[in-house]
Amino acid sequence: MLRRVLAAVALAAVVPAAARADEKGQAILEAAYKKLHAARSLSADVKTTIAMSGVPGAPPPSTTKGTVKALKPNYFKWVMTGPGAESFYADGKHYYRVMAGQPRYFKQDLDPDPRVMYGNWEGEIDGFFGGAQNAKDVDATLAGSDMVNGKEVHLVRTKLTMPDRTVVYAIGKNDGLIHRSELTMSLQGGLRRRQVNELTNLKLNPPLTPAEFKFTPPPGAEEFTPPDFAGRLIPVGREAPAFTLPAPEGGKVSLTGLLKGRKALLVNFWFYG
Amino acid sequence: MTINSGDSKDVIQKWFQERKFTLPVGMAGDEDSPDYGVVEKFGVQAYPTNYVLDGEGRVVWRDVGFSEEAIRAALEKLGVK
Repeated sequence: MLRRVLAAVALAAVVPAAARADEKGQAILEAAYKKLHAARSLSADVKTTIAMSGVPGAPPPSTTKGTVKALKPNYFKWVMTGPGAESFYADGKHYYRVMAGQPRYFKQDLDPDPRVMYGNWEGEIDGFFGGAQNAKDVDATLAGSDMVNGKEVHLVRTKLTMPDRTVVYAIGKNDGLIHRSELTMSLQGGLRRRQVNELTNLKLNPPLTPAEFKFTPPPGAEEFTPPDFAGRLIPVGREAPAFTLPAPEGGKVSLTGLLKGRKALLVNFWFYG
Repeated sequence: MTINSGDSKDVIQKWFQERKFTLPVGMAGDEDSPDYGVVEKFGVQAYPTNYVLDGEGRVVWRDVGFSEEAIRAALEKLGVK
């Protein structure tokens, strides 16, 4: 999943999908996620094409190729080659992201919840770690049939309106596996991203061992750790500062007013952009 | 509740209408807004940031990013079902 953890959209995750999903599309998608999730390991060859559009000077489309390997509970590598290729690794303890040709690579602690591994993929990998839970609330509809690499597939479209984000999955009619995902999404400033992943030679439960997931930094590249965005938060136990803010429909909301008669209050900070 | 920073009233209202989502929203505005101080007082440097407060307004949990399970757990500890 192209997960922008620190972007504005995560509030969406608490919102039930307003539109009703098409039951058949939903069932096919959930079955594909379940099948992936039931596997202990996974390997495939991957071809990724990324095209940006919507603004002048957007970079030309790029295609990179590589392999993906994953092993429960939290070993992973998505290794791509080609211009601008991005690779992702999880060695059981840390998560790494490497961009071809860049002098730095990103390292961070691996989230204890393996569902939050992020990178240039969608349900074809999220399903393996997260199972059918990750297929809920995506407003899935059956959108026709196609052929992918000689295999007959169902096309299942998932859609969120804000942010504007669509993923079309090509799911094998015979094997129930995701052979292609096609993501289109709006980014800030009118930029649009289209990302197509094709998985071939897809194997469930290939023999893999944790040792294969040892990460070796690219020669000469330095480690970069993302800044600590939690460093200035109010400590647990301290009283939150009072505030009164204008509400979009007019009037005001205040902390004191909201706390009145309540046992708890969730205060969420977000922006859409 | 949710505190938005930086978006216009129209964007916020559209976002909530599309999702048929009702909860109290406060608008902190952008960095030039007189209401933006709440973002700084809560030490918010990245979005989303979430706090769970008890009935007296004390911080019982907070995090940057989004984990539905962690938020649920914090609320359940305060007796929210």
